Amino acid sequence: MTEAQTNMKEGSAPDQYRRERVRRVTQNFFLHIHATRVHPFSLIPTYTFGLGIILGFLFLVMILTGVLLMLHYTPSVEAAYNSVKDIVHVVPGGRIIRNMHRLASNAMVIVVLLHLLRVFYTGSYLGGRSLNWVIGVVMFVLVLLMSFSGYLLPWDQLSYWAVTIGSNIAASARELTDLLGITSVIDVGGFLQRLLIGGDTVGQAALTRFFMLHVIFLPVTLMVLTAVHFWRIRKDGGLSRPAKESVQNAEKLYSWPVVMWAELAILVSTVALLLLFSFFIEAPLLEQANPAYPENPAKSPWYFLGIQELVSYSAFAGGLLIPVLFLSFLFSVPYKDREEKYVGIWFSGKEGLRITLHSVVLALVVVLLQVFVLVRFGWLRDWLPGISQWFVLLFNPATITGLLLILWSMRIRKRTGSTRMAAIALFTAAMVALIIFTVIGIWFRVENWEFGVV
Amino acid sequence: MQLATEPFIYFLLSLPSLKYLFLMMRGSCSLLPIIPEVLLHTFTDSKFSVLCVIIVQNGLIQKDSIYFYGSVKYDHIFIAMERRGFIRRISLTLVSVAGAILGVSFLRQFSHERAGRSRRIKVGKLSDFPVDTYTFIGDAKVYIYRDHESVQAVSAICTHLGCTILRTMDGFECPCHGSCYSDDGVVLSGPAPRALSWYRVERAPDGMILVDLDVVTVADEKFYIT
Repeated sequence: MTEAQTNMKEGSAPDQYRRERVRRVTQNFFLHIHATRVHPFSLIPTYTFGLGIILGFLFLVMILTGVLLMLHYTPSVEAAYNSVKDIVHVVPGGRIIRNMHRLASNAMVIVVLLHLLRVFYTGSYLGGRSLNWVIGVVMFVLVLLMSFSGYLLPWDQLSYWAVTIGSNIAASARELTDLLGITSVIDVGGFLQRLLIGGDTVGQAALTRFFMLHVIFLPVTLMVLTAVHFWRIRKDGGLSRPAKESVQNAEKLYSWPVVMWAELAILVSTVALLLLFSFFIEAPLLEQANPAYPENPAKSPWYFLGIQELVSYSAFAGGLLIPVLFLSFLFSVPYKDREEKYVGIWFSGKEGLRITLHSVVLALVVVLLQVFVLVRFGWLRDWLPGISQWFVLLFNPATITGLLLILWSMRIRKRTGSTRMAAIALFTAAMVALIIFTVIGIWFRVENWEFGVV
Repeated sequence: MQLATEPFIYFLLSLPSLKYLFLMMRGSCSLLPIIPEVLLHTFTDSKFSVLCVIIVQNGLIQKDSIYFYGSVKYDHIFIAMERRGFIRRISLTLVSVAGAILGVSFLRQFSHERAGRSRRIKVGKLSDFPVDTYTFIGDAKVYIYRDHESVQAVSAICTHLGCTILRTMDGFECPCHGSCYSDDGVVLSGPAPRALSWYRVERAPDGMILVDLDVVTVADEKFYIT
């Protein structure tokens, strides 16, 4: 134990210092978010990697740069594109602010995914933390929706076609109702589409809606949930940690000032990195939206290309069915798996690590094999022209992968008798599959969405 | 037929509160004979003049569990007398009904149909369209096909996810996800779920060719130039 740690231990410092340290936190509205004393396990950098707090700071950067961008942006079909152009070329510092806003949003998507992975693999949804996990998954979805609603706003080619595709994914519920022959009775797809873009085609109504979503509804919701998320950490007894007695009985440290220093360091380095990169990495601005012709290939930002790849097999299966199944899996994990003994242990020990690796290999094989067949030999429509849409919807790489992964997880459940291991198997395999589909979407799809190297 | 859709979705959205109503009714049905007693007890000072619901779930007795109607398995429902719970249930029912109505009206704001605007679009003079070719019209998002005796219009919007399809040597291809269509608009490959739509072609009084995007026809129906 270092001298500083010894000093922070309860009892070793004179009484007035202890009182002062407690007072610093409890008497300050902003610091009050922390407990006055933290468990030393929570401060191990390789346990949390500070991902949650990085996300908090990134969100702060998003809000500040977003407010600045909003000063110059005009949410109308005629003026939006030029106002963004003005931000880049005329407004002093506008280019950097826009680059930062876009970089921070990308960083948020990456870090929120890493945070999800960290929390899952350390079993931190266990031990009474299920509600906070669910809130976290909602926030993950909100971050993705924030990005999605954000890139309609410049009204360039990317905006227009991404939202056209996105709203048609919502409308693809029609695929199912068409097959059932009930679209004229209940048109869920059409309803969702109108709800999202206020009509059948993307236009001013869609821009107004997405602007409202992007600057009011989603950020406010995210702020409230962030507050609840932080508050729940304290209610749940601080960050997760192993149930081992040696860990549990360790003496707590005063948060002031050590936690504050750590967080300040993270804040400063996050902002510094963002600033540095935003000098060199330009946020793209394509041509003004042209409703007559899409870009070719029309690619969404990288983090949605996995979904776009799935959608290119079947709009309904890849765009609605699989994502909804995956989200319901994430939501239900803490309620299906309650094996508390695994809390706070990376990969739940050796067995979990082995199952993780097996799942990685399985997902690689399952996905790559199917994509190979698809690219080399085509799929159902190429073999049996005129085949019913039912088969196209039900048997494609998206649904088959989903089914195989569920079977895999059930097998692990049976073999190990552990819900935690089954959860690890499904989560890992699904994540790896998503990453492979994303990689294919980014680097191996060229004009007309044909296979090739970008 | 769109009209039938929305009420149905609203109905689905209000199902949770309906379920609650149903449970409430089930409770109050069996309560009917004793309601006078409840009223009576309201005026007396009886200890048991309060209506409550006790649910036995997995052997555990949970008082007032009816409020967790989403996740509770009902093994048995016992009704006992408690006044406060009765009032609470009535008010919760009223609040949830009011909430459902408000929620539905709120959602309606987001999905209203715009006033019907005619989607009959003049696409050009007959001489604008070369014989035996598909000509793309950006405003209407259609391809106009003309042969020596007739004119036809086929949708240029991919049935998969709404991108504008491109003309190829022997059909159409979507640049977004690679769906291919034949000249007749039939899906050849790719994820597209339906064939392309064909629209009615007419001639406007001023001689222009006019496409009516509100009237879907079939590939065989042609507008003959006389």
